[in-house]
Amino acid sequence: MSLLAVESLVVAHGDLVAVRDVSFNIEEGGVFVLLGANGAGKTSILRAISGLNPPRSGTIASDGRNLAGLKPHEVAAAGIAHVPEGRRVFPHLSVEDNLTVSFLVRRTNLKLAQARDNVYALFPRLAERRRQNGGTLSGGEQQMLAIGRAMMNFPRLLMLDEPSLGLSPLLAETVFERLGEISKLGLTILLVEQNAIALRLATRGLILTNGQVVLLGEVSALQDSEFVRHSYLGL
Amino acid sequence: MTVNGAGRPRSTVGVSGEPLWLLGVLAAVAILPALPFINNFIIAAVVRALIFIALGQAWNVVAGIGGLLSLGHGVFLGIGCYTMGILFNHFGLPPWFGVFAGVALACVVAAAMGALTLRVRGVFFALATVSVSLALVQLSRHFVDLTGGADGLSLKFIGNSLWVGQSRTPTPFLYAGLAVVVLYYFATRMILASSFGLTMMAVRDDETAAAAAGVAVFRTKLFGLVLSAGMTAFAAALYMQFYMAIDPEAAFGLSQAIQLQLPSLLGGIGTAIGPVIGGAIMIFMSEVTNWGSTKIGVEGGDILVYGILLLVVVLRAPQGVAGLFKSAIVR
Repeated sequence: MSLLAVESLVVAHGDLVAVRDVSFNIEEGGVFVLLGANGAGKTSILRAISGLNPPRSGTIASDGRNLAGLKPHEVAAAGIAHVPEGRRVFPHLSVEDNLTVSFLVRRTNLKLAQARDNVYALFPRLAERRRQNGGTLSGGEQQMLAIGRAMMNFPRLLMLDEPSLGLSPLLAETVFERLGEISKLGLTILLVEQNAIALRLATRGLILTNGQVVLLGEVSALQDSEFVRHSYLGL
Repeated sequence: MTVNGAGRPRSTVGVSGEPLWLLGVLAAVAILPALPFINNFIIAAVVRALIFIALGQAWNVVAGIGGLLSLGHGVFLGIGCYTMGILFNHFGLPPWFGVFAGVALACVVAAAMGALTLRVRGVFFALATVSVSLALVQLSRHFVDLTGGADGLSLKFIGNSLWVGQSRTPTPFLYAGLAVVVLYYFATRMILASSFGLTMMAVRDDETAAAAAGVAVFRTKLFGLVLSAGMTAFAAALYMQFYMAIDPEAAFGLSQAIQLQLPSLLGGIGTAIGPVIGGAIMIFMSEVTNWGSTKIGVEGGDILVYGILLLVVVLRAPQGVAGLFKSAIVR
């Protein structure tokens, strides 16, 4: 059974169909990338999985358990963490409290302090800023906090929506490096990106255009695809 | 932060900086009646301040900590006052029991309002609180036998009696008010430091991020609203026993709704100390302007002053007086 099995997913916002008949499986381990241009339906797929935006039809299952129709907090409790687009930290809560919020899901036997130390080990900047409010952090730090907060859920699948968005190339590089380390820890990652650096990290993935899958497979196949060559390499 | 004995994670909000000076002020208030130059007029003003501090503390829970802008918390004040008054006048039930009937009814109404409006985002909740206020004005005018209609409901006066919570002098209400304010102050600190408070603040700060982090958003908002409504209806007991009367305007009117919000907005929204400072300022200003406007024969001067105060705070110190203190200390 797959860690995540999406089948014939259709997501619509009113009359506008954002995702048409999308199917893919994610197995345990590795980084699965959802690549596509703006408005291709990437965010809609993530929001459908995490329950923020229930799908019109199709099934979403984790290890055979149906997730469609669950509330966002129930999906989080089922071990699927979502880092929404745009570095959404809690601006008036300290870094520490930002992390604690996710810990309340309680998917671990670790103590709160230990769980936080795990995050601080990955993102030492957050440890330095632990008493500061989330809203006072820089863009890169906020993205790290958003990722760290999702890790406090102790998820089986970590879903990230364009973590490089709005960051300088250098910071984006750092974020992807950290994601690589997280992946090495054994956590499965579902990464939504427009940035081609994501391909370096990915093991498998799919390319989305106008809400439909145009290519699904190993990362080498994606790299050779016309979409990637055209969009990112200018060939 | 460490995990406490019960193993429940807590927030780091509101656990530092015990304001010892506050305890000093409260002690000073407690010995007021014993001071030679203090008369009942001054004590009554302090009681009014304590009542509106308590009501402000209750509003602060849902609006300040939970970020749900309730523009009609008079609904819960009115439900508390009317329930107690009707039970006393018609059935002779003392306020000590009536208050809990009022709290229960307020919680039920809050839960119903929340169930209908809190699933959707945005201004629906705020608008619903206004429309329920307007509906209750009409209802309380309509059922004249029960509520006294537009004239309002006056408690039957028995005289000095602890059993029915009545007194000719304001001093007993000073201690009752003080007790409620202290209780609510520490309750607010506990909420701020609890995991429940943490989820409320997370929802306030960013609903989507909170949901993604695993917070049950709807349930959190609903609990916050019901808690705040119950606290308001409980503090309503002070209001009803002290003023001995309630009418549709005083319960559900716009100016009352503003007076319930002002203490937190002036003093510092979302903090434990904010409504205490803000309520004191509000009543002080209102006493001064009422005295002034009687002198020059104009009515409603206090509302004008509230408006100006609110403008100044919103423009110059959005974190309220408590925020000003905090930034002064940081500098």
